[in-house]
Amino acid sequence: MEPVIGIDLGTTNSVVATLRENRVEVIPDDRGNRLHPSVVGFLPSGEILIGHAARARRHVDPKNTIYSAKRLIGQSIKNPIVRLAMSTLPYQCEEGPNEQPLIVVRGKKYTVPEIASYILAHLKRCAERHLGAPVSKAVITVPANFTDSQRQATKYAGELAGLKVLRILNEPTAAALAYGFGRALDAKLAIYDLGGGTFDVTVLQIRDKIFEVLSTGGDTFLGGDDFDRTLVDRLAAEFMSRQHVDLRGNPEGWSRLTTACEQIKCKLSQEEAVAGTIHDLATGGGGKPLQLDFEVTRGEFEQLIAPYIDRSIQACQEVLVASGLGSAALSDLILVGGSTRTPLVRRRVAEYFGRAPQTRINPDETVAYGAALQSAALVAGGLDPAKFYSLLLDVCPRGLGIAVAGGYNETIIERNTPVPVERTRNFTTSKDFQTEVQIQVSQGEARQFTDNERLGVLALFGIPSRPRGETVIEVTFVIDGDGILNVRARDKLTDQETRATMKVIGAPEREGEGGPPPNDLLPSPM
Amino acid sequence: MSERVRAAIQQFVDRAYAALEQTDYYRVLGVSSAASELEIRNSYYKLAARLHPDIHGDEVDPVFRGRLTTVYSRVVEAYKVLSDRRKRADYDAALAQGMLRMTAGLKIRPRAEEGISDANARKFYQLAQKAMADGDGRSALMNLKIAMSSEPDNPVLREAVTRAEGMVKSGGGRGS
Repeated sequence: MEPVIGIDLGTTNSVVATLRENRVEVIPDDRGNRLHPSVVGFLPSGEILIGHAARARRHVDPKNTIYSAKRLIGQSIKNPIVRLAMSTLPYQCEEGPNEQPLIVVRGKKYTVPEIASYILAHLKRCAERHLGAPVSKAVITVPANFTDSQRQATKYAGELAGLKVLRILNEPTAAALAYGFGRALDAKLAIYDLGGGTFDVTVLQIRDKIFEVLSTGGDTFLGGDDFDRTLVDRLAAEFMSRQHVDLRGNPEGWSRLTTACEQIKCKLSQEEAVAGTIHDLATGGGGKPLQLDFEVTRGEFEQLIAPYIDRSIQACQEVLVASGLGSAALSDLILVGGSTRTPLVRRRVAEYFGRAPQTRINPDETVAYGAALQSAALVAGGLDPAKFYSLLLDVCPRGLGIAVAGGYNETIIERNTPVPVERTRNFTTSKDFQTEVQIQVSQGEARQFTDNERLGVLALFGIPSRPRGETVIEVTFVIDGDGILNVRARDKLTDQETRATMKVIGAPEREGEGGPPPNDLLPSPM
Repeated sequence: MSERVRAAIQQFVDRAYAALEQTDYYRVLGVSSAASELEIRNSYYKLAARLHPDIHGDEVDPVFRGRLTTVYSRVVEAYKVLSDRRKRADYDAALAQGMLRMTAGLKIRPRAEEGISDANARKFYQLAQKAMADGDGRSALMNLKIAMSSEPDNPVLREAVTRAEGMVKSGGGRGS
């Protein structure tokens, strides 16, 4: 049978694995590296480098070396947090159709899924070489709190790379699958997953082969990159005061400083203080290269990153409450993601959950490991007890709703509802003789519609003109196993239906213009 | 999955689908109303292991797939309510008054009307009855028309239309 693979497509690094003869193998590249940098480098010759080969280009050619693309995938370029992330990236972005960011490299424009597809195609090739067989099917992981459009864009990236995406799998759930593999467990777990750019926390229950997610939450813009940035800001300020040069206008220097700060951060996980010199940050008077001598103590670093860790602990609190469990009921705590190597993170999380974290798990590889298991389970399918299988009962991370009159958000699917799921609600018009209804869809729990993340809009035209309240629109939300939403709406009198025409913000494959925010629906009394 | 297992599951789904709008959450999960939290969870896991769409990834029959999704969604809905102590207490109170379902915002859905099997038809029939009770024949008629779009030949609905029409003719069409 054709091998299937599991891919952890990370902000900073990616990992690919497969299940072979009931054992999970992490697949190396041709140099033996098991962690593949999520970097794509565009050479002047037109050649494209990916992974390790591309990473070194970050200092040489920062404008044409794309990294951290996961921070932009499926996002609206208008999102203020995305703009902030973009301001720290040395490469150029501009607005494309559907508000999506386009990355401009050597005069050519690439969508973010295209960039991601280069990385996925590289992993596919690594797997094919390692396994000596073609690979066309994969499970790809995403942060549990990824929005609908981020999931769609990731899936699309997989398709562009020539992969049939069997499942978009939540990263913490994948970690749990890895943890539970081959053990008959009856356990309740907390998974704290802090990666390069995103943070998830998930509480789940495992019994034998069933993995039931009880609750999940997190922050799509919180990760080790933020730790790096606090150091970059601190050292850039120091450089400014000593050399009177602002590195912000200097992508090469900025990129060098960023890389140095990443290394300082990693060293501070082992050492109490790190000192050294960063060379060639800028050019001074007379063409003299400028350098920065620095010393950072762990205490200083911990002060800088404490607010970020506080934010993650806050999310842990919410998720634990939503799970209905107390921390005493948990049987284990699992840390996933490279950023959980930071001692302050380990300390604070252990303190919050009142237990030492599980240490058998490799925080870098465990997500890909779980993805490989899930890919095998999905291919095996069925209920044949002789075969290995596991069943994931995952949830949608955030509530999904539509805009109703008064600017409010009406939830149709509550957060932490198990997926796949289908829910139908009726709505009615609030204005007389409305012949057109726009249904604005959002993700989030806020009462005010605009405080939530807009996902898209779908329109119903040609509704017979009737007094307000007499038109009844039946809105059905379907979330599939990938956590991807499909919305359809039906005018109940004419039976006219619009299906799957939702314009998804930040998604690359569909085009269209956003309409004005209409406030023209009311929950129907039934 | 063996053909025998698949056939058994399909039969189960067809039966559950047909009875869905008359089934309370306990029956959806196949437990008694006194079931413990553990029993509820056990039953949910057992049903998930048979009905979860991942188990039926290679299923090609669109009718079966659709029914499976609907039935499985209801299993999940029932589990979400019955596994939460507070929601379960609310549901028990609602069930005692004949309500079978709770949806987002804990809105309560009324029990099936005699003689109307389609869920939507029933909802609009009930609205029509409410409108008629308010003396609003016009709204009643509108709701009945929607109900009849699902069940055009239902005698209960036809009889109600006659009543509503009479009400409109005698000047009970508020707002017209």
